[in-house]
Amino acid sequence: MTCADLRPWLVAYADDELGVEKSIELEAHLERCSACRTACDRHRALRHVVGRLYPHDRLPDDVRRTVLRRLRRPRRSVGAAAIAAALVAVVATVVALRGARRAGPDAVPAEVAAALGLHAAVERGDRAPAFASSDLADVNRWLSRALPFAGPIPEGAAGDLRLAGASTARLGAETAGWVLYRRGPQPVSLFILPPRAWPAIGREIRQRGIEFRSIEVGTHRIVAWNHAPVSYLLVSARDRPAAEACAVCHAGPQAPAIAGFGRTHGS
Amino acid sequence: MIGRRDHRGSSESRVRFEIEVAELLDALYSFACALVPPPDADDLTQVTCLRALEHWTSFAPGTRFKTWMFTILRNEFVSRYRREHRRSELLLERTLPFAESADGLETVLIEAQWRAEVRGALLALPEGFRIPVYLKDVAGFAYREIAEIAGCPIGTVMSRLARGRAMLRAQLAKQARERGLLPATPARVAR
Repeated sequence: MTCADLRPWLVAYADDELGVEKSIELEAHLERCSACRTACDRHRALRHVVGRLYPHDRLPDDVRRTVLRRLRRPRRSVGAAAIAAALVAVVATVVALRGARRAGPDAVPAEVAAALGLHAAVERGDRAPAFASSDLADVNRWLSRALPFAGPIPEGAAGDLRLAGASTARLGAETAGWVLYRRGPQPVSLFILPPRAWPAIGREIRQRGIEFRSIEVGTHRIVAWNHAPVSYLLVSARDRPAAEACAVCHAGPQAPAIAGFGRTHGS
Repeated sequence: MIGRRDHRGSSESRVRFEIEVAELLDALYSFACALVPPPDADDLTQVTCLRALEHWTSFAPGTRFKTWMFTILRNEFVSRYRREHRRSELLLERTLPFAESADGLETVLIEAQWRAEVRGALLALPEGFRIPVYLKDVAGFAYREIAEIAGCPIGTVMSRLARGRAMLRAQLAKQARERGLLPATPARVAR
């Protein structure tokens, strides 16, 4: 038997899923084939590493309460009408929860709250970009395919910001592009959304005819702005200047303008 | 164990159903997060539980409850979200011109505690590969159960698992090289 004949069974052997007869046949081959032994070891090692390192998600408490409440509600009928009613109730609950978040003490728009949550997950190490790359061209290509709307994609990053990758993300009811940068170990998130009118929240900053809004929530700074045909949200640490909003999009020759923005308007 | 035909209608069995669902909530949510972003994962987990409640009287004795719940979740994902969340597959395929040697990669990943990176690389796999790799390597299902959840033959599970792990390893090795944790030039090995 050749490697090619046995390779299809190698993964099952490595996962202890292969029957006895086939295992004996494969082990005879493994004794004299180092390439297949290595391939087998890699399957086992990678399975072990993924099982050990992959962070498990915990259902948010508000959703857990809602699910358990729905399950415990007495039911006399479990017909189609009942499940339709249950689904309507779940949707209503989710909408109500999101509405409550929107009307919270910080009065931040739902998409801003969602962006903050995603950024915080990256800080905790619970999220990473779906497409991890420091290559600008690759990230641009990935985003242009992944986003359901057309819009300009960051041209580059200035200073010590390093591109880390991109994802798509649900912000409120919409899908947004999510570009992740890092300054050292600290993440900086740029979200690209379909165009919208940002409410008059936070501090207003005008630069080159663009109105930026800088909002501070907890330890984070959020900068929101529109640049047709899309809108942007930037989430970074509160101690970072609002001028970072320029830095994620402009590098090199534009740097002086960024510095001016920082002196005039940064915190 | 729930699902015994003679007890399914009893309140005791119903309570057991609720307890078992409650114990699976985090596992279901984690699987949902491997399929869709968190806001939709909330909804997908909820809808899965309600769908299970609707159909729990048809739960077949002898079936593992966890497998049954994961199967419902995967079916709900297919019917509700698949088109919207289908990820780009071309880029990942393109990163596999040859098998990576990357000797010592697993040690590097453990030492650097690449939790977010492992998650990111797994979530970036095309759906057909991501589901079997997640179900085997993260959730620990047997091939037979993965075939049931994913709705495909065991042979397909095997081939996608082999290919999915190779893609995952290639992506992680690429990142490790970019960060200087592995030598820059991968050695070529036989596929």
